[in-house]
Amino acid sequence: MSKYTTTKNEYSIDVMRVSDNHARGFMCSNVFHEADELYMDAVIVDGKTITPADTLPDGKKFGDVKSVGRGWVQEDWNWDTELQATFGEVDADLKKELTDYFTTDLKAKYLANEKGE
Amino acid sequence: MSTYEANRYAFPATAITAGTFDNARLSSGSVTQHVDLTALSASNLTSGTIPNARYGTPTFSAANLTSVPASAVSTGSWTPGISAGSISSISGQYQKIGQLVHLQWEWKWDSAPSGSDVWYITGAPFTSISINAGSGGNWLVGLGNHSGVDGGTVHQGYIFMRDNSTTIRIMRAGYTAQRTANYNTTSSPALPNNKAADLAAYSGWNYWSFSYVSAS
Repeated sequence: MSKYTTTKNEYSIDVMRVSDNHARGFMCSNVFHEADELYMDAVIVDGKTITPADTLPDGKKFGDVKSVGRGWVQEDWNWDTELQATFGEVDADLKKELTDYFTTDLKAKYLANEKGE
Repeated sequence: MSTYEANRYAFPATAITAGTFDNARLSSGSVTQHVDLTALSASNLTSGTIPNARYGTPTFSAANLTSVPASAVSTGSWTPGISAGSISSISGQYQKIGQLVHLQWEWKWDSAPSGSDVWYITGAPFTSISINAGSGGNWLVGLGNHSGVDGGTVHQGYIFMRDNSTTIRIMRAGYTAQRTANYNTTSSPALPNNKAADLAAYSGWNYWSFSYVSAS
């Protein structure tokens, strides 16, 4: 792959475009912890409303659970979206290298690592 | 012994005034024993490569280097992403010297994040080093600067990056620090989406800088 250089790591690949050193490290998957969503009052900073208040159903107050979170979530990246956003193109060879390296087993190990297992 | 035989074996070297000995007539020992290599002039080294092991550290000054390998120092751009909300006018630069990476980046918010999940930045250009440190988790801690909260003023505070990762998280201002292992869950001082919304206030521009150690 002459257009990009890649460096493989335990759960990620660092990619650099040779022509201009534009670089980005791609994790094998997107792992995050999704908490319960609560009814939130408006976020107002110096009088400016950043996020409006939730509409409260009858019997609910701000701080009550709006929806139950899923806990730890692991999602695959959309490589077409990520590569396009990063490099302005989707290089087929680069995409294949990413998908080939990020196996199901590697993703499972990454999730366990993120969860501290 | 005849006169001819006597002269033949006592032939003086001074009598050799012309001509060239064939290489095959000179043994390697004849050369190495009689050439003063300790006084060899550097100007005599006109080809070949000196092995690295022949460079003495005390006599090899970095001040004399006119260039260093590109793999050791690199400068370029990167594209930060965010876990929630939307941004545009994204610009990121990095300087990498060995394993030390310094990042600078900026963006303009198009819409603020909402909800209470931990908010984070994705796509650091180089995966962080693999270490075994931190309380209950392998986290790198570095000081970073960012603008956008509390009146859009510049803040300096803790920015976290786990080892083996390209994801960056922010410590929530005004909260008591916890064990670093908690910093990717919502029950921690890690900046959640609804507080990261403050970053989108005012002009909506954020400027950041952060340094960390990369894996390679």
